[in-house]
Amino acid sequence: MATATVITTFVEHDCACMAVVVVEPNGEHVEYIGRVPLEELTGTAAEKKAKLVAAAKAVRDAQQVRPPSAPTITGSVTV
Amino acid sequence: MAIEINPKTSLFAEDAAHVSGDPGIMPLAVQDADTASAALAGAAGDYAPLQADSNGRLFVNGVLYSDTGTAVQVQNFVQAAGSTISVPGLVTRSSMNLYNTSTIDPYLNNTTATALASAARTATTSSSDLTNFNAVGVYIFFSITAVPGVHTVTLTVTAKDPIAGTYETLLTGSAESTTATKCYLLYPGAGAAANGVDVVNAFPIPRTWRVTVTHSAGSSFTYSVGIAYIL
Repeated sequence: MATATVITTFVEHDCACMAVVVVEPNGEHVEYIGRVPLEELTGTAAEKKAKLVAAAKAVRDAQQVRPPSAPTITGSVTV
Repeated sequence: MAIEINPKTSLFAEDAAHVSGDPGIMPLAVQDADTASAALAGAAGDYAPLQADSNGRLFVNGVLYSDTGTAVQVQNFVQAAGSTISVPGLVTRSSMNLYNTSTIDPYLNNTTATALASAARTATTSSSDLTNFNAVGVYIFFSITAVPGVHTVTLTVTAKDPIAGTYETLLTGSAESTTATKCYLLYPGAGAAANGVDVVNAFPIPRTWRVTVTHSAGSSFTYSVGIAYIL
């Protein structure tokens, strides 16, 4: 979870887009663009905002993913 | 030929269970031409015989339904000469996919996207990680529409190390201080910069990459970065 600031919204390729900027823990300003197909962007303004925010969060979450740790195995083995 | 029907052995009540050897009356179907275009009954409400083609297949006028109950449309295709033919069946579409050792990616044509939307910024800003599915190179359009008159912004393209998560520089643009649209190209074998292309590097782009616009100071620049993948 991080606090983001909405930069702008726009339409691209039949998708509504929301660009947000996050100041990452290392100090970098990184912009994430959430995309939602226009046909799926229904409901109230608050619901639309929530969908776009969720899309932007999903982009950031995907970038944050780290591979799971492998089991610690050391020593001599026969292969 | 007259047929004697015994209602006690040939007619069955609703929900009566089937027993092997039960007698019954065969419903008749009329073999017609291979298109059942003509009704064999005079008016609505009349009894009408079933019709079959020359192979004995029954003609039906059916509507296909999806698993959600929505009628499925069977499209008509127009021949080159302009006449219309009906395709009696489902229309399917196939597309090529590529395996990425984890999931299946769609094979994409040349595509475009926004890396950084047009906005005023006062600090060095990076795009999110950009995923290149199957393109080899990319055009990058750095459109600067408002400048403070002092200081500069510089665009760099970096490739992401999939293990360390760090970024290595593939291309660095020149420091810009005026409004302009700068075009950069990364493509293997690309020649020298010419015409509207300002910087060229003959590198391919990896799967994960991004752009960064570095501000020389905290003054406000308005710009966008668009990308166009090239197969």
